[in-house]
Amino acid sequence: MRNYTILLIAAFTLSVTVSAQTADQLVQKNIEAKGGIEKLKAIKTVRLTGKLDGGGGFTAVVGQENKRPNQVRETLILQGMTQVQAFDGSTAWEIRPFGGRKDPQLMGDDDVRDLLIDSDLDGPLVDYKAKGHQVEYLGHDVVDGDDALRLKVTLKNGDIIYYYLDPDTFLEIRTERREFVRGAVHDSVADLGSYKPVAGVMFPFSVNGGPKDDPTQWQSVTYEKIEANLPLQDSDFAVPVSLKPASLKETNKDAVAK
Amino acid sequence: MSNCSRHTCSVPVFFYAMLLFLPSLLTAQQPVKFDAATISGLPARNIGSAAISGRIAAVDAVTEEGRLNVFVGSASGGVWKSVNGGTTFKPVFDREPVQSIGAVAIDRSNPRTVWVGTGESWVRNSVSVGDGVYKSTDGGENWTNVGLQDSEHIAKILIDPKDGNTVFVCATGHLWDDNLERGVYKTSDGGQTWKKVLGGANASTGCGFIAMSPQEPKTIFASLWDFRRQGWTFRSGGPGSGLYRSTDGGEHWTELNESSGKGLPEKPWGRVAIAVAPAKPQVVYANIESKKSALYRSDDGGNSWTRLDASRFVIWRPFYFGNLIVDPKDENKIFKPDGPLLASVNGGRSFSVVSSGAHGDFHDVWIDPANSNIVYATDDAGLWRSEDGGTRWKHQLNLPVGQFYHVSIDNADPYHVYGGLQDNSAWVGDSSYPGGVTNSRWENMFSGDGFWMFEDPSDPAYIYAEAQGGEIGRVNRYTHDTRPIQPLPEYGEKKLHFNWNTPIHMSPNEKGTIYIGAQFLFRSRDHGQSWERISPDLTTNDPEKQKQEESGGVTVDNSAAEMHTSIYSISESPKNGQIIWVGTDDGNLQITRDGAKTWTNVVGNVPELPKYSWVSTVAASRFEEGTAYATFDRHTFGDIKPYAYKTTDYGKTWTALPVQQNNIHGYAHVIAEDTVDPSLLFLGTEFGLWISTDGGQRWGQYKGSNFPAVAVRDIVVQPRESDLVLATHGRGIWIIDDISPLRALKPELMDKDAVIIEGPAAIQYFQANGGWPEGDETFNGPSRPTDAFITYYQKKRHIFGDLNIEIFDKDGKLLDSIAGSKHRGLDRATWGMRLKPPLVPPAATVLFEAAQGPRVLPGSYTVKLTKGDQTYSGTLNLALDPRAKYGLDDRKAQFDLSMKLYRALEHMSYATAAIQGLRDDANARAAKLGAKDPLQARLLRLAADSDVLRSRIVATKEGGMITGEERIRELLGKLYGDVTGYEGRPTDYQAARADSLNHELEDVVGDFRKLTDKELPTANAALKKKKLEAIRVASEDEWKKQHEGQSASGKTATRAFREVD
Repeated sequence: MRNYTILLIAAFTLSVTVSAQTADQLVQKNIEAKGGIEKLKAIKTVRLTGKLDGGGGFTAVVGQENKRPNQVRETLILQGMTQVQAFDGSTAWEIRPFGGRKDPQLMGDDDVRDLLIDSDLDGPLVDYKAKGHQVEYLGHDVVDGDDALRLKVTLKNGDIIYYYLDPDTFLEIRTERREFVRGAVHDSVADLGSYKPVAGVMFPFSVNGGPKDDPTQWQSVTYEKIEANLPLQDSDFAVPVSLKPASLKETNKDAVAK
Repeated sequence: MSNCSRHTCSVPVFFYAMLLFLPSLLTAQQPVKFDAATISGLPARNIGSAAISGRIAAVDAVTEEGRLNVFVGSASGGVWKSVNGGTTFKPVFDREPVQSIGAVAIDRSNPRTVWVGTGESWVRNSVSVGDGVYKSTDGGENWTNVGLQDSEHIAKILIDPKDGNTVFVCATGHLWDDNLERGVYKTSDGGQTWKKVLGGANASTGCGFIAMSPQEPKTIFASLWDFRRQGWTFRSGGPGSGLYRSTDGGEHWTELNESSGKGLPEKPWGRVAIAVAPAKPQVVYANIESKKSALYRSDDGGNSWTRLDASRFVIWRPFYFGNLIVDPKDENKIFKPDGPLLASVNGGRSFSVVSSGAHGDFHDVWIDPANSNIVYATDDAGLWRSEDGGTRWKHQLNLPVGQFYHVSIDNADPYHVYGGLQDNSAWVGDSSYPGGVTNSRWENMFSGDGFWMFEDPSDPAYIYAEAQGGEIGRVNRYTHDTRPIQPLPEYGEKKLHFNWNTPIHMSPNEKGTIYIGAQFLFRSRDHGQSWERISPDLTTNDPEKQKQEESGGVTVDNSAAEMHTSIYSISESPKNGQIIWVGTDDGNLQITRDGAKTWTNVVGNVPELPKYSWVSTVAASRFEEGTAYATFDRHTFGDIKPYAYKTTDYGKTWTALPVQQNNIHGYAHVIAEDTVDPSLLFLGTEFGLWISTDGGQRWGQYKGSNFPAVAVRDIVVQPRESDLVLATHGRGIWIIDDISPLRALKPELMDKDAVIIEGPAAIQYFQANGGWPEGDETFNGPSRPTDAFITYYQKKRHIFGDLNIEIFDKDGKLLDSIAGSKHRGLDRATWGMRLKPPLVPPAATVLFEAAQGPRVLPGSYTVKLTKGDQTYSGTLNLALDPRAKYGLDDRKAQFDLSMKLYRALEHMSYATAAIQGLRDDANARAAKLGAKDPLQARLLRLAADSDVLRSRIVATKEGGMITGEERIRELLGKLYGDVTGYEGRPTDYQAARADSLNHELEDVVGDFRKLTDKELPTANAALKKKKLEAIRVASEDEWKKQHEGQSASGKTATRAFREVD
């Protein structure tokens, strides 16, 4: 039975990488390959809409919205029901309607790691020092036998993302995430491709990945549309009123559950 | 001759002219790239098993933040790490070029720093080799080779507990030949530089073991070991062996011997294991191999010694069990790894066997310094955990590091995999199973060390299996009743020379005919009831290589592992049963072309091959009777390069395949032909798998699915599935499903930018469920993919723009669109062979039964690959599962009913949308009217009536509990799931139920129509008077148009962003 992991998209989107012969040079080359730091920074919001192919004919519509500085909202739509996971910059919440509950809940801390990574619109490499991450260049490597340049990004929280850059374009063709959830290791892999420009920035329109040790369980996301600088409101990401402490409800009347 | 001054050279004009043309010349001559990337886009899956696991040489562990991190160094399957005391393990050394591990050491002062010595030091005949010392500074995430690349075997690494940059390496050195990079090495700068601080008296002496107490790290004890293995003998011991002590951190050493260490035995010595009691550094133990082998103990830091226990297992096989471990707190408690695990609690005076139900042949022990009840022990079957101080053991069933020697397959569906492993018998496993190939899908069929194993094709109830030294048996696979059938010596004959890894071979021409080789070739046509001796001695019969009873050195060790002058490889030509090839371990390559009447040794025709090179494989071609391939393994002479040859004239001439020129590394174990394409060859070496598609001229290393640099000992192609099945010696069995696309990789194809490679018909395998949750602590290998493969080739990595694959039916209707891989070389996409899922009306819960579309019918489909502005087409054929008891008519009946239900679900979606639309519109209009307006009441009643109708179709009770509420939607969905989930003929009840549910749906639709017919004209007339928009119910055709191309989400994505139903 396939594992219909919901919001697989959360694990793999919007990873913005870079790097070169030194880590900083490669980071710079990746940013330039994406379109340059000005273009990246000029994107204030983004919306990705696509199709998840979970294998065995299982499909769903997936979406992701980001708004600076670090808000994200990810959706998976099945039979007219929309599952939501969102982070408003401080709190992660979700709606899991498929089992009959449509009211929002706070997300368990073990479940939010991917969402936190995805909340960084630029990806961990941009301004990595300021974000408290570390980047090392580990040298030439291979992805399924083909050449790549390997960067190790140790996030501020200790999680690791390995970036494999195409040596010609310096765009990432694979990322490996190693998350340490209360000490337990969660490994995943994503192959990225079909880069296309959006507002002058290169985005991967194709993400294919899953468990590192079982390629038969991989799933793919193909984005049909990526839109930049839509007028997204903070309220689109905000923790629903019903989840706020009573003392805050009065001051957050506008925070509407999504 | 060039004309150069000190700084400049004058270059002839024609040289510049050449430069101008060079690019075009290069372009013209440069063949299309063929390398690892070309072939590695086909994924592989590892089916284990971890029930068998495999030899583990070393273990170390450390508690960090209250959790136990365990590092396991396997004999030939890399390093594995657990961060939860062993509940789960992950391989952390797969990126490195070798997989044999001898030592693992965690820096206690900084547990993120881990040292690994590659090359196991328990140097049995089948041991692999390493390439030096590796260091990780990030907890095993990444590794750097920091030196001693020529040491090949490392027994132990010590880290100064007060200075993590000071490290001692016990480099055992080469097993098969002399070398100088062996002895005790020290680094004081974290591995940047190394100093040999203790060397041996000769080039065959290396470090046997090393020990210190963390309380006194300046005092170090080390043993030197003079040893040598050859193909036909082993010597443990010699003038170089001895025991040494340094009291100044390894700078100076003093030998401790009969003279300087009172009580020590007289020389010669063999291997010496040493341990210093961590809690009491003056207590030192040495297990000394000598003519008086025993455990010796010193209570004064090595000045004087007392001879203690010398019982059988304490002194057994010192080369293989050269380790001692003292409890961290109790200097009188000692573990002695050996055949069984031994423990003494009286300071070494006597030992008890404590391995209880564990496998045996132990190598290392780790004791938790914070709790001596927690003990990890390693042996030939993997890792064991004790929570009672080492008396009862739990097997870690999550380390798939099995050391297979050989593999074969049968033609069952799914086919079985057969193979034998080092000290782990011979097993049969499922190549695939619903729910995954768990440990329980493997079954032990024999005993001892395992090697060749075959199904008896003349009676599949029986299996041929063997243990070391040619102990072949015929086993009933159901009852396990075993009949020993080994050929035996004749009168006056001393011994038959059966190799440790004796070849058995099934005739490809006569079903059930079996061969086995000693120095003679034997053939049986009656299941081993009788054997014909069909050859003379085919070996060199060199008496100097037949002195196995003298093998062992100081301690005799004649286990059949050194049996030599024996046949090692047998191959009957599939084209002509009169032709049989035989290769021997002492370098003969024999052929008979007359059914074994006469034999010719053709090894002299093999060019540039040193004499007596071990024939690791000879394989007759399945395409030309004069063609054969041979690999030669010279690592027993200290040469680890690969050698591979081909003949096309029955061995009269041989051509070297350019394997070394293609940078293939590691001694060659096996070469195998594809079953279809004579140009497609597979080569397994000690360091991986290489593939050639042009008859062996160009080779690429297979690197798909993170396949490690593990020894590939045997290779077989399952002909029906075209699966490549690999017997690795260290990582179990791997399968590359359907390698048929490799057959298409000809130069003309590889010169194209992209092309779809049409393969065999994709099987629509049963949708079966199996297995059961076993927790995280057991292994579960992936099953064969159940989606169709769509394979294509790209000359370059695809970075920019779309790369999509669309599938069309025979009428040109688009069925599905899937994403394609962007990899250079072969790529594999998969398609679920299903139509899009039906639209389902939203309700209280998701209808998972209807989350997938019906699987399309078997037949021919068109595949279109769009890559940028280019398109490429191909055909994809789909076929019924050949195991199916139903026929195509049944399948069509199933598909037809599925589609009937599919349409019913979509019709229901329309009906529900229409009803909901009416409800919502009525409510919306009512909201614009005053409370006392009778029209508002009428509209609200209309909305309420609509909702009642809706609740007759869909379940509406929310809350996430098990409501048990079933309406037409839920009943129809369940029926749809049942019908689409089994692809034979639907039951009569199912067909009838489809009709009845449709009827019930139509009843509601009819009531809805009555409601609208009755209410809408009046309501709309009233709305018109109030200048409000009329309420209109869209037709089903309009609704369909709106939803055309819409995904199963049931709504457009953008709209859904802001909706939660």
